[in-house]
Amino acid sequence: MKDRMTFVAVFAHSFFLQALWNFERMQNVGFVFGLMSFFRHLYPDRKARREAFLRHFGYFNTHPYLIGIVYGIVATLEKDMRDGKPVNARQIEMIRNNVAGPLAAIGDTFFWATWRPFSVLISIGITMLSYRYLPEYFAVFVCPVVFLFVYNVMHIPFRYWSLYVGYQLNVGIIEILSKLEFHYVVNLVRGIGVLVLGLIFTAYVFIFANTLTAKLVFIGVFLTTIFFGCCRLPPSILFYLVVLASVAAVFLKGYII
Amino acid sequence: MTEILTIALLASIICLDATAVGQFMISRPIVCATIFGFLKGDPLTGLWVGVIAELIWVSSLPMGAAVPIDTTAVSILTVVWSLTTFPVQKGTIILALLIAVPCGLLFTKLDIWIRYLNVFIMRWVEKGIESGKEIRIVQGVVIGLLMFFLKAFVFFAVLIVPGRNIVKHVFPLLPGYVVEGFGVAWYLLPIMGMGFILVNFRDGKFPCRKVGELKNER
Repeated sequence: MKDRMTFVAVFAHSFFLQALWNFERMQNVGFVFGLMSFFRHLYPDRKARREAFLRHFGYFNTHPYLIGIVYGIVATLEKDMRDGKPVNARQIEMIRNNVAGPLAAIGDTFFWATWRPFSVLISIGITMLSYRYLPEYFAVFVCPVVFLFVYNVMHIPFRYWSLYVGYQLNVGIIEILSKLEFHYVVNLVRGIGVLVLGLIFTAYVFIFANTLTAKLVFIGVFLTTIFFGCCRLPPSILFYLVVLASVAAVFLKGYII
Repeated sequence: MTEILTIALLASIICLDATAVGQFMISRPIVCATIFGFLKGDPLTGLWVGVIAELIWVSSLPMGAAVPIDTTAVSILTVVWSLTTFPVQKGTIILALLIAVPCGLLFTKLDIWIRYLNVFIMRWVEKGIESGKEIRIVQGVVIGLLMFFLKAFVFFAVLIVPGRNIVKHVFPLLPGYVVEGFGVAWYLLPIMGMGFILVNFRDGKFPCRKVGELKNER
């Protein structure tokens, strides 16, 4: 992918990885779509290109943000194979599939379960602060704008970097990733997230709960959610329970008093 | 009619971001609910609905083949239904949310059906490649995008009117204590969402987590 246009094309196509997500082979069509420009460049012969497409048309599933690494590795290995280096199609397929699983786990843990909630908390926190300094109409838009910025400032450069590094380092990227100690990063982000959550919760209680009873109710709901969340109660069910409990509480209050 | 089709069109384009293209998070409730709130003249209500949906279902993750509840559909329907019936009424918004959650689950079911249907398109693409028509890869991607788009478009176009009518006719019939209770829930739901985020961040570190583990073992 020395050709800059090819690199940009693969990067742009990588955003369509899940366009034809299917339950049989998951992201396989999106995967070969991403490599189309590269294969056209690498295999001008149609027959060789057809073989390359079919080689990568099997089951494939990884985290969409880390696809760049897989593309980088596959592109380097394909180029090596074409140049007559000791790599065969079976090895490429094996490496591709072996890399996809762990990358999916890293992506799910970091981007879905950590970075996204963290970005949400940061955006809510900044919005609460901005209400003091900005007119309400503008402060409302701070939340989505900050969320999109915080989230994508990590997401988009990471995708670009991963494709670049994956191509430059080939399978060496796997060694780097294994040494990165991802769980430390995840724990750090989550630790900061918990701190921000604590501040948001405290501010929320002081803003919206005017009486001691209301404050205790807020804290009670928070602790109850933690308990049921740990018990793996689905959020949708707890949502209905909270609404039902709110209605019941108002009804009983009127009935008793 | 034009209004409904416009809403459905915009919502379907936003929904593509969730799975099919990019995942830039425009489809997250915190963003799309605010956009629809702005379009309906009340961005603050949109934001509040978005925050509730975002916090509560933040731990529902699309890991592997799992398809979690579609919070984009839930938040967009809630905002549209509530702001086109009785705006600035907390009770209406909670009522709309109560109806929108099962619709979000229905949207998830539709998503699963589409992904099964995609298997046939994928095989069609494969046959094309085998016979030397590599353009089928591009066509397959375009058809896949269209399928995701049409699913969302039909879903929103069909559900906006009946949902709005339900909210419009049911809300005035609700007893006072129910509406007041919905008002209380309006403030409690974000707290509940914060609880879920904490569980998500400190998973396995609470003593009560063992209850969940025992339940899973059974």
